[in-house]
Amino acid sequence: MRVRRYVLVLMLAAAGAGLHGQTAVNSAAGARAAEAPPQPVVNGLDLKLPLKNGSVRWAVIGDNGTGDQPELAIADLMQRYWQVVKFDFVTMDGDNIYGGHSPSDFQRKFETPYKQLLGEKVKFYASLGNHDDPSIERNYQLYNMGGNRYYTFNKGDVEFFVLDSNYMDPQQLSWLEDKLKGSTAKWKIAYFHHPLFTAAKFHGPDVDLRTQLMPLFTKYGVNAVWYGHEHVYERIKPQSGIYFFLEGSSGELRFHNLRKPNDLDEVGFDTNRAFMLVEVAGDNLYFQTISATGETVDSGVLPRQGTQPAK
Amino acid sequence: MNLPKRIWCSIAALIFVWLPLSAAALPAVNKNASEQQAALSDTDKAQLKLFTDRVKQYQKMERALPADKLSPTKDVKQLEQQRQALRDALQQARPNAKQGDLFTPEVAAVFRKLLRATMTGAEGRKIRLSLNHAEPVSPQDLQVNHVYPNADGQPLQSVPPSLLRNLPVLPKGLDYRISGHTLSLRDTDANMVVDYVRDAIP
Repeated sequence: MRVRRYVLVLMLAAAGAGLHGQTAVNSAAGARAAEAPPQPVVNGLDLKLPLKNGSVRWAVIGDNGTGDQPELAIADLMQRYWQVVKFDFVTMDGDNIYGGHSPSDFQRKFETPYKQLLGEKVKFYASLGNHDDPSIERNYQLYNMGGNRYYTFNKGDVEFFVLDSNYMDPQQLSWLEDKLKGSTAKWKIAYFHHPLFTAAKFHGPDVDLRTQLMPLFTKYGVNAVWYGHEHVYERIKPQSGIYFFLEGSSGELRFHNLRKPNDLDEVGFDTNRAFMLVEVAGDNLYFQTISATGETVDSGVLPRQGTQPAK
Repeated sequence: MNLPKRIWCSIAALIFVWLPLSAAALPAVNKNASEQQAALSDTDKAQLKLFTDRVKQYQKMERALPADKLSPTKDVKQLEQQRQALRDALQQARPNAKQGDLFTPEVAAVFRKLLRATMTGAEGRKIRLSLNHAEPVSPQDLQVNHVYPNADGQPLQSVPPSLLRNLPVLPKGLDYRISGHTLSLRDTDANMVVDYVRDAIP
């Protein structure tokens, strides 16, 4: 009897240890995205988002800043979708400007491609990639970084934590912990440049960065994470209950860069450029990934961790 | 749960083994204290103190400069001009700056020791993977008081967080950068090389 009692106590302790670092995020590991509700084709566009009243809507691009025709094509498609979706802002996963960073480069690689969206007062919130020029870009007003390498901003129920993964020094980690600890947002979303998990072959995941960030993400209940660097699209299986997306093909593309088969991705797409549309409504995050041909290559709805999937 | 006693004993033994292993596998959360720095001798720690004092003096000098600091604007040309003006002002304020002013030979020796210990320690493999992951750039010729050599669009190599955790903390406006085996100290607003140590990364 005594042995049995000890074992039960130890089992309880073990269960507690297993929950360490996941106090705020109820595990949704293995949760698959439910199919987003079908929408009619609008203005010739395939639309998978529900466009609910009062929802937070945005677009995601990454590794876009080439100034070449593929970036222009994606930007044009984004503009066409904006006519229907009316997303308020765009998040950028880094490598916003490749090559030179002269005024004409900013013109050719950002202001011209997204001219119509900028004209519609759509705001762009940039994170810094390894090809970016930090001192210029963090002060470039159209990137809304407020002069900072890392920052936060709020939209409705969502708080975004924009990090500088090029230089994750102790000060930034400490700042992130303070911000996450103080956040009361229903949805906490982080984005930055370097991938924590990826099945892409060219760079692979940054394990050192992952070791620093994952304990904070799990401890403080980050719901979803976006990054780029690899020039592909991936929706990664939830890790420690957190949803991960890699969108790094909105200008650059690395054909057939994904390991196939792999057991990490729910969906991977490495044969054309892409961008994403995201909508947060209540406890649900709807997403749609659209290729340069206008084809929807991935879509679905993800429940906020600890809540039930949308019907 | 009516299991035989020997089964309960086996479960207990398994848990005894698993508990400490699982605890060891849990990553440290945001550890700011540098294990490698703590292991240094008092003489070495004194050298690092001298280094951080010189860094503070540099920062104080920069703050006193009349040049405008970069502030958010849509005008990229203005940002370029402000950055150039800041770099000019820094160059004028320290016209005789040379390699080794902040990373004196003694300080450089401590940095090499720190980095060797870090790179050969438990996190060494992870740091090397991170460095390779970071799209390493070809070693560049660094010159003190000159622009950091990424002006033609070369990527700025990222610095692994575990490596940064083991180096002395820098104030805002300065960062460490890696190029090949060289560790440099960069003024982030001016994008200027303040000083560097060759053969710092083993």
